[in-house]
Amino acid sequence: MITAIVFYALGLIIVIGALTVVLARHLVSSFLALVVTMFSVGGLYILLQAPFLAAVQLIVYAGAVMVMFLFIIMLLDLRESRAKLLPVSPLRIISAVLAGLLSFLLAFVARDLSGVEPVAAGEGFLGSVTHFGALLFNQYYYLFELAGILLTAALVGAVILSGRAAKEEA
Amino acid sequence: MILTNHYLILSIILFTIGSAGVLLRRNLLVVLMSLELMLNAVNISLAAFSHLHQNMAGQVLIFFSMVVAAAEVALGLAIVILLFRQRRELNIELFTSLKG
Repeated sequence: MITAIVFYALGLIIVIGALTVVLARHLVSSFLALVVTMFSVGGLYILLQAPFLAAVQLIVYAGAVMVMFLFIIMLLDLRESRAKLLPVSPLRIISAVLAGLLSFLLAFVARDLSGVEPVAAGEGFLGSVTHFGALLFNQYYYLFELAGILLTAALVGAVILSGRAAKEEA
Repeated sequence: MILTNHYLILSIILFTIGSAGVLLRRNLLVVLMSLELMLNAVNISLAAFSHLHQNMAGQVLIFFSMVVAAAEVALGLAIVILLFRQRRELNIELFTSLKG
């Protein structure tokens, strides 16, 4: 019962936050709504027995990524921060219709699952950080190392890109 | 107990809102934020399936998706800075030089 209440509250916050991100006129409002949405998604992970992912969501998404966005919003002195919608064109109408059809298709697939009950939770099965770490560092160890390489490459790329920008400025 | 398809429907709603943002907004930063929304929607559905099957592999996949999202945001924002230096604006309609 309490799970249902929490789920629907979080879902409502997520949907309203996402709508605010897309529809807000000011960039900063979009940004703040995105932070709220990320926090609520972290709450969903706790409901889904993934507390480690909830922590990572709060630290990486709601923390680091959002701070990065905030820095960019602050750095770029946007004179016209009132962002408008794209002008309507036939191509865009077609793409909007296709996107709507896609979500209908997805909803149809999800409807098929309506009778499926979750497997009875084993003891301390999901969500234990020990289990997560064991899986990550045994079965997915090479992927973990690759992720490290990817992050290093992204770091170097970002430094080079912004360094070039600074040089062009000078 | 909430059924898995409730999580999936929430995920679909979030994904649709995010894709609408990517398709309809002009501001490059808002487009990036909408991309984050779409990534989070997919992560929710992965977590729901992981819970349904009581299988931790889905959670590991979410973890890696978060790593890739962090890398994507870092590079994307660096490119945003470059583009802003060039045009002094973030309207995506200005960045059509690759259109041919």
